[in-house]
Amino acid sequence: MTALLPLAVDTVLVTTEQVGYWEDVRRRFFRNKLAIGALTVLVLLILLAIIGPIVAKGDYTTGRLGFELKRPGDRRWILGTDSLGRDLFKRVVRGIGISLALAAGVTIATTLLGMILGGLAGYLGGFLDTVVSRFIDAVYAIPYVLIGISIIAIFGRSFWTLLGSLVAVGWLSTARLFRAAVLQIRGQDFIEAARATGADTRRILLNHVVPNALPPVIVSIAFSIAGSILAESIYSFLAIGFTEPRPALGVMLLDARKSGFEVSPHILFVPAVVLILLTLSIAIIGDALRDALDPKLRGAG
Amino acid sequence: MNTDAAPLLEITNLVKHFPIQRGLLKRTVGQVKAVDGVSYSVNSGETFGLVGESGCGKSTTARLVLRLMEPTSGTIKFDGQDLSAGTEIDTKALRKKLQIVFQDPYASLNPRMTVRQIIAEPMTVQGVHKDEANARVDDLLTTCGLAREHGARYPHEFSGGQRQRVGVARALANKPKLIFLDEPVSALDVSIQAQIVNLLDDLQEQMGLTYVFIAHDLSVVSHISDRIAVMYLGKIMESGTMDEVFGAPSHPYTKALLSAVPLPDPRAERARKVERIVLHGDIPSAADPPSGCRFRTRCWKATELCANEEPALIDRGGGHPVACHFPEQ
Amino acid sequence: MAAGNEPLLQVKDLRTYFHTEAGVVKAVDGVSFDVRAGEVVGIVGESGSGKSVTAMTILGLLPVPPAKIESGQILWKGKDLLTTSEKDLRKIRGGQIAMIFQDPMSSLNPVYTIGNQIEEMIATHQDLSKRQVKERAIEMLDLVGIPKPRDRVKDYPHQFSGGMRQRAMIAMALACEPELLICDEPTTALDVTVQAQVLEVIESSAKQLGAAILLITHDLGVVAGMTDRVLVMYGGQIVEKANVDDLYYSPRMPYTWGLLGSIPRVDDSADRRLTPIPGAPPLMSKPPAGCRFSPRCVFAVPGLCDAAVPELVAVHGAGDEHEARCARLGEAGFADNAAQFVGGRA
Repeated sequence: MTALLPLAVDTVLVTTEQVGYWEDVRRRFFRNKLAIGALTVLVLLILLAIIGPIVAKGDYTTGRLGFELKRPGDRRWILGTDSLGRDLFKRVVRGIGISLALAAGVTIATTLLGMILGGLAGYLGGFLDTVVSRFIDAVYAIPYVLIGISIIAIFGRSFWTLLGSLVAVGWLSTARLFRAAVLQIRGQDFIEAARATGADTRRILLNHVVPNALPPVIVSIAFSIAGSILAESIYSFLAIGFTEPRPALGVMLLDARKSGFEVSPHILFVPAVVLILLTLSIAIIGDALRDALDPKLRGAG
Repeated sequence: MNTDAAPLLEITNLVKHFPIQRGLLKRTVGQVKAVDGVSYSVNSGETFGLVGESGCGKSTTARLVLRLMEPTSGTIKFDGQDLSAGTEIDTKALRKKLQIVFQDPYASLNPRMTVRQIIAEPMTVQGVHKDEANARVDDLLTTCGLAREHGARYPHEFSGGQRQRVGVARALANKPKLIFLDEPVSALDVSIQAQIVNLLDDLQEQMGLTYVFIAHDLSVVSHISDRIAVMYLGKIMESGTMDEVFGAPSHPYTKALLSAVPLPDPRAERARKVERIVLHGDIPSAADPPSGCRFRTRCWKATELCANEEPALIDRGGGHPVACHFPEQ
Repeated sequence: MAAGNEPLLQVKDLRTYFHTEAGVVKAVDGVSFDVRAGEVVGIVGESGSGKSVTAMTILGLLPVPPAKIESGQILWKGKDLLTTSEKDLRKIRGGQIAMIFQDPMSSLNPVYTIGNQIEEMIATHQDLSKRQVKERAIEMLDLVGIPKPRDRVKDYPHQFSGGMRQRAMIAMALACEPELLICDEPTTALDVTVQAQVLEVIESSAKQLGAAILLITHDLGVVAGMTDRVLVMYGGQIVEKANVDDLYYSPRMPYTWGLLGSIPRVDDSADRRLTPIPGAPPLMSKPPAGCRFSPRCVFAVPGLCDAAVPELVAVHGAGDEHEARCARLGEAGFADNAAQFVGGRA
């Protein structure tokens, strides 16, 4: 086919800088000072979780008579000891690792589950959508702690039931979010255009819907991690999650409650502050991501 | 333009009703009669204009022919193939020959795909080899007034007019026979509209394309179309050649439409002010159209006959079909 | 057309810039014009021309960061609106200068009845009894041609159709008998038959009240039918100013030629080819050097047109109302180029 003479060739592009989408997001994210601060804190905590156990080797589960409730600042115990004489520093750095590892696992599972169910419900609509949405509405109405208690009461307490109950309540919000994103995208002209080219449902979902629905999922992942950490700590605090002697943050909090933190507040503060720093930093990052990914602020003019 | 041969596209009594559902159990309480017995034919190589105001169903007919929506009833014959309601068709093969350009240049391109990927997709879907597809993308870019380097860019880097060119290039990818153009220039600035209209004109001449040009802007439609049909509330009111319909309109609605279009000519406007037809009332709902002739609620000629008997779309002496009991002479 | 001595509205060298992440967008860059009592002035332009921003600036409706009014004056009956307090501005807004927008649904509050909204408007600006306010609201609905106004005054915006909503907005705008009605693309979103109705309502009700109209649109057909004088805007500046006949029959600026040549007409001959303007409207964050239109102008002379922004100059000498911003304006025979764009008409 011979090319026609181009008519009024528009060679001037709208944005003079060729900035890719992710590059733009990255830039916007790093303009947010609070986000940088939160990211720094999170990186430090992660480093602590990795290096901590290597540096602070040794026993952290057996009690040592005579060394209970030592104040922080001691040369031997930087953060002091708990009610059984265990080194709080050794325990807390491992606690961070436990929280993050569990949260990662839960988040992967809930994201996959949420995307699949939410995505199909949103794109296919109809009966499937009705069933999934009403199910989510129903379960959402129940406080997740109660759900956790019920599952563990039925299936007993173990690592897997803990994981299971966190996933069972975690996938709901991801599914809702993804379904909303898919619904919004489904109505766009370019989806109809893709159908008009003869693309099948699978191609449309993978090439058109999912790439455009990713931004809310990324934000949801951040909040899911923070939420899982918090939920797990709550479960452990209620003695339905991790148990002694595992140095999970919730377990340490429970110990503090039982062991008179009024006299030795450090046994409460150490895990509490770490928990707050961990969840807050992730939440702030999630918030900043949401702002950075907002398409309304995209592009010039 | 071969008007003796059978038409490339022939639609007869096309109907599309959308059910209105209420309540938890989604009971059907009524029907939106978006397209309610529409018939028209398009000859190979010509531009057929479909004109009407919002809600008249013109865009819906395009989607019915393309099978982006299933027709409720009616026959569609395209290039020797029967696409009527209820028949099994290979939609993928159909979309090689039949294409569409959308109205909104800002929504019709996937923001996460490069321009090259967007234009290549119709070919990829149809199994065209990667190299061949890429070569054709280069060709299409230059044909549509863009540069080859633009292929690597994303839609947001382009202006509205450029994006619409990408949309046109995409529609041309598989060398279709007929293209539906659904308000292709409505969202563009005036000076850019003219660029795209000229582009479409030239492409048609060079490639022997057939267009169905759907728009509410009568000026643009009048410029590009050979034959035209005027739609109102799901039905065709009048159809014929440009000279017949716009030159000597028979249907009161066509007259009102033409009278309402402002001309960029102050003297002509002042002269027309006296005889301008201003319709009263609003467009009725398609869920509850008026009995008999749909236009009667806003027509200055309406009589009881108009309420009782729906006028058929036939030639009433004017030389072209008109659906009115009292056509203008 | 009523001849006022002093113009009602005088905009002098207005500059409104937007300070964004991407840089400074010079949306309005040196705009001056007048509106006299009772006259209809049209501002015509494409996207990015600055026409809407101009209108919003007059009423102080722009969000002040990121927008900033860099310089200029907006004199309303001699008083500079840019230095008026918010309190006094509120009295003028609605009471003396009213505005109609493109999308009636976003300017009408969905949770209040139409009657309530009009009454609120009247009550804010006029000292009438409650009963009088209610009566006046019904009168206004009647003025704009809404049938059964006494019943419809109790309806909510969503119960009105698109055309009716626009009429309701006109009623609201005219309720306090403003002296100037600013219409920002009032019919762009409407069907052509509804557009005709709405324009007719605007024209007749404004005439009845003796109000001047500032009509902002991109539709050259609408402008031809409604206005007395026209301002053509491009790239944040006025590039041609003329009374309506002069603009359409003897335009002097190549952009105007291009615009007129780009529009198809229902009464065109079948083989007339449109003469589009090449390229696209400029990004106001990086305006072109020299004449803003020069990159797209087929008559641009390098060294002249891209060197400096031409002044807005009277076409036929001082005192002439017809002004154009073109470096080649004074050239002998340059004006004849218009024929290839607008020839064969009128």
